Amino acid sequence: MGIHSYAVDEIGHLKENNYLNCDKSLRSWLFTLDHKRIALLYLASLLVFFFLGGLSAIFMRLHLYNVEKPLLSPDAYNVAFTFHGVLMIFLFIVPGIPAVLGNFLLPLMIGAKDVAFPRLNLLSLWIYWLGALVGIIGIINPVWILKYLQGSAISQWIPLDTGWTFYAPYSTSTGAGEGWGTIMMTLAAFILGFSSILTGLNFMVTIHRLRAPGLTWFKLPVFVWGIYATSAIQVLATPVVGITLLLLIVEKVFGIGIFDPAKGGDPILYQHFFWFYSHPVVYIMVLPAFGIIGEIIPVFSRKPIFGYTAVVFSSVGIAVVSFIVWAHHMYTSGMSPFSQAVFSATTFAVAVPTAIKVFNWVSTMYKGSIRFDPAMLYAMAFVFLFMIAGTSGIFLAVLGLDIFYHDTYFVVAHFHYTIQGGAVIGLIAGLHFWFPKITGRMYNPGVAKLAFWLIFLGFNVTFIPQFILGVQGMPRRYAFYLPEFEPMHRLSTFGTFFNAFGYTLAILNLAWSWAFSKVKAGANPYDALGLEWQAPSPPPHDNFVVPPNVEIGRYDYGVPVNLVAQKEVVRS
Amino acid sequence: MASEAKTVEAGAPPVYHHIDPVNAYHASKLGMWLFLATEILLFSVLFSAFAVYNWMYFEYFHDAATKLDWRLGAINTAVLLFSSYTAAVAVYKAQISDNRGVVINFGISFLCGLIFLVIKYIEYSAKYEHGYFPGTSYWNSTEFSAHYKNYFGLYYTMTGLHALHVVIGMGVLLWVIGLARKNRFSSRYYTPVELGALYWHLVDLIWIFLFPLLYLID
Amino acid sequence: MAEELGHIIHPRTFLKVLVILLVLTLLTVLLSPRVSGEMVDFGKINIVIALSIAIIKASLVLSYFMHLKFEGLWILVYFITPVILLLIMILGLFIDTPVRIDPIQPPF
Repeated sequence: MGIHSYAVDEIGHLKENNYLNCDKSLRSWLFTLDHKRIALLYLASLLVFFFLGGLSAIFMRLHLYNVEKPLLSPDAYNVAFTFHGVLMIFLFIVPGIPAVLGNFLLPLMIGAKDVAFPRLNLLSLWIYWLGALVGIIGIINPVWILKYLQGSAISQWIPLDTGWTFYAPYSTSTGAGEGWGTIMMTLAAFILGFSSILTGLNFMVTIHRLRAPGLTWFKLPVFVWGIYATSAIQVLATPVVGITLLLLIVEKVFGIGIFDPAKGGDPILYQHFFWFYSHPVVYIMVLPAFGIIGEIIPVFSRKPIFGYTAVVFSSVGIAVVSFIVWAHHMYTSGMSPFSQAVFSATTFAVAVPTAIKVFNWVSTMYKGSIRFDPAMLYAMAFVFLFMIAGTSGIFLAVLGLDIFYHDTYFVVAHFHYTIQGGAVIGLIAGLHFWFPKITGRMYNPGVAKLAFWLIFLGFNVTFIPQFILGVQGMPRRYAFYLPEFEPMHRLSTFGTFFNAFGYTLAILNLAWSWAFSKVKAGANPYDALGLEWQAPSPPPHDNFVVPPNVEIGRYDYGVPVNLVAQKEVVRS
Repeated sequence: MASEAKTVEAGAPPVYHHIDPVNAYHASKLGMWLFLATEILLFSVLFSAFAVYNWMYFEYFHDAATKLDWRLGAINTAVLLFSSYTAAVAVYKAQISDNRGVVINFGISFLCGLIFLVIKYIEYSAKYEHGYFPGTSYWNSTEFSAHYKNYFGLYYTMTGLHALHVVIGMGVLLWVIGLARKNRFSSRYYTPVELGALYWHLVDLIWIFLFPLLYLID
Repeated sequence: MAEELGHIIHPRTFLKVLVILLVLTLLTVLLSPRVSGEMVDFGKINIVIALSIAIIKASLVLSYFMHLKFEGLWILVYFITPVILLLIMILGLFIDTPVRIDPIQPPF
C-alpha cells in the first residue's frame, strides 16, 4: 500500500479516508478484510437476531400473562421458547462480544494493523451468515410451506419444539419438528460452530504473534486477556458440540442407537457431550464482558485497576475450571450419585475466580473519582446484576437444592441474570464506551441514560419475580400454570416491556447518533489510557497513523505524565 | 481490497500489509496446530462414546468386532504410515527448495490415500453384502439391532468421518501439488506444504488409534 | 538470509522412524488375541497393551514427522490440552455410566 497522509485534526478525529469511507462500494464491504468492517457487519447481523429472539420472548411473556385465555397453543409455546433460545444463544450472544468488540478492538489494543488471518476472519463471517441462513430455512420450513399450500392448518406447523438443548431421545424421534426442523437447526448450529472456532483460532494467534514490540503479556489489557481465555474455550469446546449435533443427525437418519434408549443407547450420554460444550460456552458469553467492565471502570474511576495480576489469572482460571463442571446441568437426569457429588464440588470452585473479579472491580472504584458516564452506569449495573447471578448460581451448585430448583424458573432467572445482566449489558456497555472510537461521533448521553434506567429497572422487574416463581416450584418451559403463580408471571411480563423498550431506545440512540449527530469525537474523548485511544477516531484502514506508544501503562492513572504522553501521540 | 501484493519472484513469500513473512510462517503454523486441536476434540467424543459402550456392552462389542477383517485394517495402517513418511519428506524437500520433490512425495501420499479409500470401499461393500449396513433389511432386524447395531453405528460413524478427513486431506495435498508444480515453494516459503503435511499426519494419527480399538482388541 | 524458517529433519531420520512404526504395528497385531489366539490374551490388560503401543506410535509421528520435538512450548501446550480434555471427558463419563442406579440396557 502506498503512503497515505491522513488528515487527522487537532482532537484526533479523522474525517477523510478512515476505515468507513476509504471505499464505499458494497463489494468492498462484503469482501472486506478489515477487522473493523467485519466487526460492524457482525454487529448488524447480531442485532437482527437479538431483535428476533426478543420478539419470541415477548410472545412467550404475552402468552404467560394470561394462561386462562392462552395466546399460543402448547405446541406453539414450545416453538417460541425453542426459537428464543436458539436465536439468542447461537446467533446472538455466542458470537456476541468477540465477533463485534473483539474483532474491532483486539488489533487496536495490541498495536497491530489487523488480526493474524484477515481472510479467515472474513470466512468466519461468511460461515456465520451461512449458518444463519440454514437456521432460517429450518424455521421457515419448506415442509411447512408445502403443507400450508396443500391446505393444512397452521396449527400443524411445528418446525422445532425440542428446546435449544435438543435433548435426545425426543430430538431424534421422527415426530420432533417434522424431522426437517431439527436437522436444519442442528446443522445450522454445527455450521455456526465453525465460525466460532475460526474466530477463536484467529484471535489466539493474533495475541501470540501480532503484539507491538515491547508489549509483553502482562502489559496486555484485561479485555485482551478475556478475549484470549474466551478464544481458547471457543477452540476447545466447540468441536465437541459440533460432533454431538452431527451424531444427533446420524441417530435421526440411521437409527444407530447411540442416544435412543429403545435401541440400547444412552440419552444421558447426549447430555454429557452437549453440556461438555454448553457449560464452557456460557463463559464464552461472559468472559469478554468481564474484560469490558475491567476496561470501563478504571477509566471512569480515574484509578488503576485493582489487582491486575489477579484479574488476569482469574480469567484464565475460569476458562480452565469451566471444563470440569458440565454435569451440574444434569443432577436430576439419572446420572450416578457419585458424579453428582463430584460435579457439585467442582461447581463451587468456579465461583471463586469470578468472585475475585467482582472484588477487584469494586476495589478499583473505591476512593476513585467516579464519573457517571452511560458506559459507567452499565458497568456498575453489571457488577450488581452479576452478583445476583453468581450467588444464585451457588444455590444451584448445592446438590440438595438443585434437585428442587432444576427445571424451575429459578434456573431461568439465574441464567438471564448471567447472560442478559452479564453478557448483554457488557456488550451494550462496550458499544457505548467505544462508540466514539468506532464512529468518530458522540451519542446523546441523556437518551442513553434514560434507556439504561429502562433496561435496568425493566430487567429486574422481569426476573426477580422469576426467582420467586422458581422457589415456589413453577416449572420452566410450561405453557400453562396454576393460578397461584399468576401474580408473579404478570409482574414479569410487565417488566419485559420496559426491558425491551429500553434496549430498543439504547440501540436506536446509538444508530441515530451515528447517522445524525453533529458532535464529532476525537481520538480520546475520555482522557483514557490505552493503545486504542492513540488511534484516530474513526481509525484509518491500518489502525494507527503513528506507531503507538506502548510504554504508557494502560492503567496508570495516578501518573500525570502518562496523560500528557498519550496526548502527544495523537497530536503527532 | 486485497491486502497482499503479487509475488515478484518464484519462491518468495507473499507480502501482507499487516504481518512480515517470517512472523506469518510462525503464525500459520500456530494456527494449524490449534486447528488440529479442534480435530482431536472432535474425535475425542467418538472415542469416548466408544469407550463407554465398549465397557457397558462388552460381549456384544467383542462379538461384533469379529466381523471386521484385521488384515485389511493392518494394510491400511501400513499404507497411512508410509504416506505420513512421504509427507514428512515432502516438507524436507520444500525446505531445500526442491519443488519436484514436493510433487513426487505429496503425490505418493495422495496415492496412498487413494489405496486407503479403495480398501475401505472393499470393506464396506463386504459388509453391505452381509447386510451389516444402514439401509439393508438386516440392519433393522431385531437380531442385528439387539447385538450389533450399537457397535456398527459407532464403527461407521468413526471410520466414515475418518475417511471424510482422508478425502479432505487428499484435496489439500492436490492443491499443494498444484502450487509446487508452478515452483511456488522455496526455503523462504513453504507454509502450505508444512500445513498440508500436518493435516495429513493428523489423519494418520487418528487411524493409529482407530485400528487397534476397532480391529484388534476384544 | 540463510536462517532457516523451521527446523529441518533429514529424510534418513524419517525413514528410521517409519521402520520403527511398522515394527510397532506388527507387534500390536501379533499381540492381539484375535490374531494370535489365547496365548496373548491377558484379559482386561489387552486394551492397555494396545493403547500403549498406539500412544508410542502417535508420539513418534508427532515428535518427528510433525516436528513437535523441535517446536516451541506453546505448540506443545496446544497439543497436550485437547488430550487432557479427552481424559477429563472419559473420566467424567466413567464416574457416571458404569455406576448408575439405573444402568443402560442393551435393547430387547
